[in-house]
Amino acid sequence: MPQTPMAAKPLLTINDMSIVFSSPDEADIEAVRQVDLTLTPGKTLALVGESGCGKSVTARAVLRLLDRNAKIPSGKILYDTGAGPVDIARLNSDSLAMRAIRGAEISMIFQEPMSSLSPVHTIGDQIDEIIVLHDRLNKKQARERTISLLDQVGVPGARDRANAYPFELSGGLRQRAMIAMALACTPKLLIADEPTTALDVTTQAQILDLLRQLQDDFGMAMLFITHDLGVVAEIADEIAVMYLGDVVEQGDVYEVFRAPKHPYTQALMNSVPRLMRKAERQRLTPIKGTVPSPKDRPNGCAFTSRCPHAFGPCAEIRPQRTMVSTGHTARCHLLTHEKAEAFA
Amino acid sequence: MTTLLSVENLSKVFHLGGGLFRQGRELVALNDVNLTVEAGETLAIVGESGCGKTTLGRCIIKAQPVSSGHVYYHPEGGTSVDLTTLDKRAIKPYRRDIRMIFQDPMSSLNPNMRVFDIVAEPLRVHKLMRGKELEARVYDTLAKVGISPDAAGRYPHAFSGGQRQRIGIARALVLDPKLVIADEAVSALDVSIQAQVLNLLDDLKEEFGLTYIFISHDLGVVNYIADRVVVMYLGHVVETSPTDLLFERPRHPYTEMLLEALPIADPTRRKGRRPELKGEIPYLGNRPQGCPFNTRCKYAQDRCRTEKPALRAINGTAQSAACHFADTLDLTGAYEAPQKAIA
Repeated sequence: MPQTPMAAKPLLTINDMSIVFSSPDEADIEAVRQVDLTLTPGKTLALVGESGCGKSVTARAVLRLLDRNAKIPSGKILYDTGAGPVDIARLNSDSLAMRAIRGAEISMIFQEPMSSLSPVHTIGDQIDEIIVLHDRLNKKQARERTISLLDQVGVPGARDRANAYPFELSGGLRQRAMIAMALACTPKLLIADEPTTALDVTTQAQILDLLRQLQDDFGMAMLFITHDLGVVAEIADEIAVMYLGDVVEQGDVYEVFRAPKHPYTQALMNSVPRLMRKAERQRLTPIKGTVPSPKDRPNGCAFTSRCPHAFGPCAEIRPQRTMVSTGHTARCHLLTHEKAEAFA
Repeated sequence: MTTLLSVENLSKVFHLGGGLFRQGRELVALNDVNLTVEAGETLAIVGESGCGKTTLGRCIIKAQPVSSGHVYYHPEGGTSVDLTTLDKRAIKPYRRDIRMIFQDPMSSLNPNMRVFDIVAEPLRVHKLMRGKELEARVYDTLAKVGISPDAAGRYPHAFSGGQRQRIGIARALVLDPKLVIADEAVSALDVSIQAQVLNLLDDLKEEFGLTYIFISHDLGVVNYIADRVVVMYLGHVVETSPTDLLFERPRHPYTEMLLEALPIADPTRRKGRRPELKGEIPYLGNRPQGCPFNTRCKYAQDRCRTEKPALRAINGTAQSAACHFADTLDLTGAYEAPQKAIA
C-alpha cells in the first residue's frame, strides 16, 4: 500500500474498506468495493461522485450509521483518539466506545436540514441535548453554550432563535443551526454530506465561507461530500473521485483539476459547462451511457463499460493504485500499461 | 428576428389564509413583469428560489390564471392573441404550440402509464392522429430523444432519471411545438447525464426550429445554453441582457452577487471569503420598500429605500436593468480571472 506523504499525522485512515448490503430476496450488493482515504487535521477532503457511487454510504460507515442490513466485511477505519488508533469498523455500532466518538469526536452535517432536524423540538433544545449528553453540563450551562454556538455560525438574534422550531427558519438558517449542532462538542472531524446542495447559490456561498472560517478557528478535519465540482474547487484541499463503489483517483485539488489522470475524472470534468464567451463555447462531451448497477460491475475497473479508452485487461483485472505525482494517485491500467502511450 | 411571445405588465398575487370574516394575506409572486421572447432564441430565466421564475412559466401557458397583465403570443403568419383572456377551450390549440418540460422526472410522469401512452396522450387529447399514424409518430419521437422503441411498453419506474427526462422531452415535442418552456429541466440530473440532456436540447432546437424559455437557477448551465438572460428577484425582473454581456459586465447589483456566489470548477480561480455576500432573500410577503434588493445591496443609497427603480434600457447596450445607478456602477462579471487567486 503506497502511503501518501503527509505533513501532519492523519486523524482518520480508511484502508481498503468495502460495504455490503444484504437483502432476503436478492444476492448481496457490494455498494462500496474499495475505499482508501486519509483525513488530516485542518484539511478538507472532498469526496466527489455521481448519485449511487457510494460516497454517502462511505461517510455513514465512518459514523457507523449504516442500516442494519449493511456490513463492513473487510477493511479498516482507523481513528486516532490521541491514546492510540481505534478501528471503527470493528466497533459495535451501539457500543459505548462508538457512542463516545459519534457526535463528540466525529460529527456530521446532513443534506436536507428540514428532514434531519426534529420538527417538534426547538433548535436550542436539540443542540442542548448533545452538550448535556457528551459534556455533562447542566441545562442552563448547555443553553449558554448553544447560544454562543448559534451566534458563531451567524444566526442573528441567537438567544431568541434558540427557541424557534425548524419550520420557523429559512433554509440557510436551518443549515446554520445544523452546523452549530455538529460543532457542539468541538469535533475533530466534521463530515458534511452535500451540505449546500439544497440551498440557493448565494446562501451556498455563505455556508461555504462559514465552514472555511470554522475550520480555521477549530482546526478540524473535514470530509466534504458533494457532486458539484465547482464546490470542490472552492473548498477542498484534496479530492477523491468515486465511481460505482471505487475511489478511482485522489490527490491535491489543484493537481487533480490541472491534470486529471483517470478517464472518469477527465470525463466528469468535461461534462461540466464552463463559463465561456459564446464565441469560444464548445459542445459538452458527456459520458456515454449510464452508471450500471453494482450487480453488473465488472471484476476489473468499474468504469470499463463507459470508458472511451477501455482495452484488454480493463474488464477483468483490477487496476493497481498508481502514484502519478506526489500524493496524486489513480487506478487505471493506462498508467501502467505500455498501450497507455497511445492515449496519453 | 420576430417576436414570438411578449409578456406585458404581468402580475400574479396569491391570497393566503383568510376566511369568511378574516382578511387573508396577499403574496405578490410576480410584480409587473415585462419581457419578450424572440423566435428561435433560448431565453433563460434565472433567480433563486421564490423569485417567481416557475410561476412566470406557469402563467405563460395559463396553467395558473394571472392577476393582471397580458401574455401575447404571435404565431408565425397568424394573428397575435392574448393568452390570458382565453378560456379553457379557446387556449387548447395554443397549448399545442407552447409545451412544458418539468424539473423532476420522477414525479412528472404518470407511474401507471406505459411510456408509449405517456408520449401518445397529447396526440390523443388534441385528436390529431390515431392508429398506425399515431404509433409511427410516437416511435419516431422516442427515437429522436434516444429512447429505443422496444422500451415503449415499459413503465416509467424502469427508467433512470436521465431517460425519464428524455421521455418528458418526447412528450413535449410530439405535438411539434414552437415554444418549449423547460422548468429546471436538468437540475435533478447528475452532471454526466445533465450534459447528455443539454446536448439533446441543443440538437432538437436545431432540428425542430424551437424557441426555448429555459428556467434555471444554475448560471453555469445558463451560460452554456442561453442567448439572452432574464434575472428575477422577489417577483421582479431586475435585469435582461444578452448572455455574454451579462457575464462580462452585469448591470444590476443582484446579478453581480449571483455571479460572485457562483462556484467555478477551477481551484486556481478560487474566490476565498466573500463578506459582501450578505443577507438572505426576504420573505415574499415582507417585501422591502423601494428597490426590492436594497436590504442586501452593498451599493444601496437612501433613494433605493424609498423609490422603486423601473426596468429601463442602458444607453448604448442591449441590456436593461431595474437599478437607479445602472449607468454609473461598474460591476464585476464572471468572465475575467479574479484578482485575488490563492496560490
